[in-house]
Formats: sequence, structure tokens, C-alpha cells
Amino acid sequence: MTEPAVELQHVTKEFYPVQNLNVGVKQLMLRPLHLRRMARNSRFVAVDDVSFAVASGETFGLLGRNGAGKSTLLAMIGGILRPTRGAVAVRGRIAPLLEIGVGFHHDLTGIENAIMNGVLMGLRRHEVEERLEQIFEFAGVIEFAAQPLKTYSSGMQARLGFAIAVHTDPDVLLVDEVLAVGDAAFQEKCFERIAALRAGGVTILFVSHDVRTVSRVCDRAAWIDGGRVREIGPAERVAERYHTELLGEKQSRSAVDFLARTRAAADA
Amino acid sequence: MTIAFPSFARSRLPHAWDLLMVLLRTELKLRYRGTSLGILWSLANPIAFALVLNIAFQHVLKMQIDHYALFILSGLFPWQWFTNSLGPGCAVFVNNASLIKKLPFPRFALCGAVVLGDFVHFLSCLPVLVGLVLWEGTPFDPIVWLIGVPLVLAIQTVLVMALVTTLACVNAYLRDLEQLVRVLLLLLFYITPVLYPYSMIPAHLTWIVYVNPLAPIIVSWRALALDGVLSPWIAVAALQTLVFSLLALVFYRRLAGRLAEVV
Repeated sequence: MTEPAVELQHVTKEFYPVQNLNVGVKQLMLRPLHLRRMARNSRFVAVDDVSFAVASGETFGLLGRNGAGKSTLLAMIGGILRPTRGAVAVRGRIAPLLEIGVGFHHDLTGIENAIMNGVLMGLRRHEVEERLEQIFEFAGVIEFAAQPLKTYSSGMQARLGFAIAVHTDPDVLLVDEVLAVGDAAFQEKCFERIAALRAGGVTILFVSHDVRTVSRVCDRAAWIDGGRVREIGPAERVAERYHTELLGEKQSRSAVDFLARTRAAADA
Repeated sequence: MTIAFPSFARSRLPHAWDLLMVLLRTELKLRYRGTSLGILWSLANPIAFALVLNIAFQHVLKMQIDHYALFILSGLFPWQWFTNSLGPGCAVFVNNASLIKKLPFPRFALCGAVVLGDFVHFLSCLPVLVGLVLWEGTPFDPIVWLIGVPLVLAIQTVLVMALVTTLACVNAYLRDLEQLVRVLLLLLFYITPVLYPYSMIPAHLTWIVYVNPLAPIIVSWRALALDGVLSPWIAVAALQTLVFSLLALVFYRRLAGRLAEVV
């Protein structure tokens, strides 16, 4: 059996809003003994004892509503955040696409931005330069390559950002809610590219709250709820459960609304 | 408990170098975008300052210092490097929060790019110093310069990087530092022998020069420019650089890993 490409063991991430000492120092001077208690009270557990493994070449979805901890998980896998407890292991080179066009600067040209972004994503300079033509062709902005980024529309910028990320030739690609960019045709192109990467054996971790995208793109998925894994399994099944619960909630909420409204009407 | 970090770049050190150079290039490009004189503008500030000081000290206060222009510029150019790097360098992690929160590149590259940007500026000032030395006819030994200039340059580069890294790490957790550094630099300007020669410092106060990380470097540059000699102060500067580099290493290792959470 091959080793998993991404492995999480009992990963927990806690945030202490007070650790940004700006609040802390003033408190420290006023009531030094309270600082420790304050830190404990302000603790926020974003990810709570999460374990799962993603096989090499697998496309894995992370589903969940806003604030469930999906992005925190992805940031830990990407090496941007350190887990408070537990272990994260990633085998191979990772390309974290948590946001499109990180470090883009309006006064630099498309090429300069592509080089900067590509190197920030972990490529050598010459590696980016070798891929420039492919990148600009994929983004469909080849005739603007030497123009400053401020002449690009926001859709063009997003396309360029996505194009760079998928051309970094990673072993593991992390994608966080970034596919909602560009027009329908470009989105289709993104999915094609992701399919091509999958076919090429790239492991993909995919964060979304869009049920359809997950069941379309992913092999397996995990439903993250309140920082914990609620369910893990084949993407379609997990997506459906998640969808059913969301629908159920919406229905019961509208039912409550309806009752309240009729009661208010009766009172009046 | 083990924490394995994902490999972000296939070859770490060469990639870090590329990153540093790309950030540096961007920094330089953005600083002078659209200006026709470009990097020459970095000369404008110290030279204008030197002119004002020339009038104030030579003609109003009637202070007698030989080769005044060379004297003042050989102190002001390296001083400008210190202030340009330490001021903005303090905020470099905070100002690049959007990068730090989204990508796991080595954070040090951001500090390095700031310092190297000002290093390039300083290099562009050096021909002015050489020109003044030749013009004023102060003692000039090409061999001393060939050894001394790269040596003092290297020491100052490492020293400024160490200071910027330390300050930037702490500033991410404690934003007040940035304001404090601004005030301190103002005070340090008068404590450091920039406007006056080291020889004017009374004997019981010379210890200040030993603890002030900016002073020995300035004294060394001035000795090179005015007397054409390698000052023994270079050794003090090197020692300070070693101490501050170790300090920077400690702070960086302890604080850099959690930057994404605090910026």
C-alpha cells in the first residue's frame, strides 16, 4: 500500500485572540494576574481533534458551512498555520491556492506579477519563466502579458492567478473556494484543468460549501462541522447528507417563521 | 508529538535566493516607478541635508571641521541606510499580511528584500563618496578601500538584517514597537556620531558608542573616507553584528512560525 499524500492525526487548532499582545500589554500593566485567565477564557477551538488521510492521487473535498474550520484545516496542511496539537504530514511538493493572485501588484506587468506569484508559490524563477507562455495562454490574456496589471479586468486577474497556481506542477494542490471566478467558460476550463491534474496523479484537496462542485470533482469528502469531522466517505454520499441537512434546516426555519407570522397576524 | 512540515519548494536554499531577488526587484521597481531620474533620487535627501548642515555648522555655528562635505556625507549615507531599513522594516510582516496569511514561503525573505533595497541605494551613494575623496585629496589607498568597503558593507548588511528581522518579528506581536522605533531613531541620530566626529565625545561617554549598534559602523565608514584607514571600530561592529544576529535567530525561530496568526 502506498503512503498517503496527506495525513492528519488528532489535529487541533486553538486560537487565542489575546496572543496579539496589543490587548495584552495594557491588561498586563493593569491586572497582571488576570492575563493567564483571560487567555484561557478567550480560547477559540477552530479545529478539534481531526484525523484523516488522503491517498496519493485522490481528490478530496472538505465540505461545511462558513466558520466550520475548513480553511483553518487547509492552512495547516499548507504549512501556513501550525497545529496546536497533533501532526500533519504531507508528502511531496505542495501548492496552496488559498487565494488567487497573492501578492499581485497593480503597477507591475502581467509577466512580472506571474514571476513574483510563481516564486511565492514555491517555484524557482527559471521554472516560472519556462511556463510563462502556457500560463498566459491558459488565462487567455497573452496579448496583455507586458501590460501593467491595472489594465486587467478583475476577471482577467483572477484567471491569471488561477493559471499560475495550476501550472506550478505540484504533487499536492490545495484549493480554497477559488473556483467561483471568471465566467462560465473559464470555470469550465478550470474544471478541465483540475481533471487533467487528477489524471496526472496530483493529489487535490478541495474546500467548498458548494455541494454540486464537491460531488462532481471529488472522490471522497469530509463534512466538517464545528471544527470536527461529522462524516467522511465517498464524495457523493457526504455531499448528499450535507445537502439534506442544510435543506432540512432551511425548511424547519421557514416553518418556524411561518408559524410566528401567522400568530402575529392572528394577534393583530 | 511530531510535526512534519510540507515541503513548499523542491530545493529550499536556491528557492529562497530566487524569492529574495524577486522581492528585491519588485521593491526597487515600485519605489521609483514613473520617475525619470530613478535611483538618483536616493542621493537627493542626504545631499540636501548636507547642504543645510553645511550652512548651519560652518557658517552660523562656525564649527571648524575639515573636508566638511565628505565628513558629513560619509556619516549621513550609512545613517540613511539604517533609518530607511529600520523604520519600514519594522512593519514589513504587518504590511505583507496578505502574503503571510496565504502562502508558506520563508518569511525572512521579506526582511531581506527591504534591507537589500536600501543596500542598493547605499551602493548608488558610494561613487559620490569616492568622488569627494578624490576631489578633497584626503588620504586614499585603493587597497584599503578594496578590502575595507566590502568588509564594512558586509557587516552593515548583516547587522541591519539582524535588527530588521528582530524588530519585524516582535512588531507583529506588539505593534507599538513601530512607533517606539521611530522615536528611538530620532534620539539615536544625536547619540550617534553623525553630525559630530567621534573625537568630540567626552571620554566618560564613549561607552555609548559600544552599546549603540549604529555607531561603530558610522565611525568605520568615516575613517575610511576621511583618513583612508580601516578603523579598529570594525571589530566592535563585527562583534555587535554577531550578538544581534544570534538575537535575531532566537526571535525568528520563536516568533516567525506563528506570524500568519498575528498579522
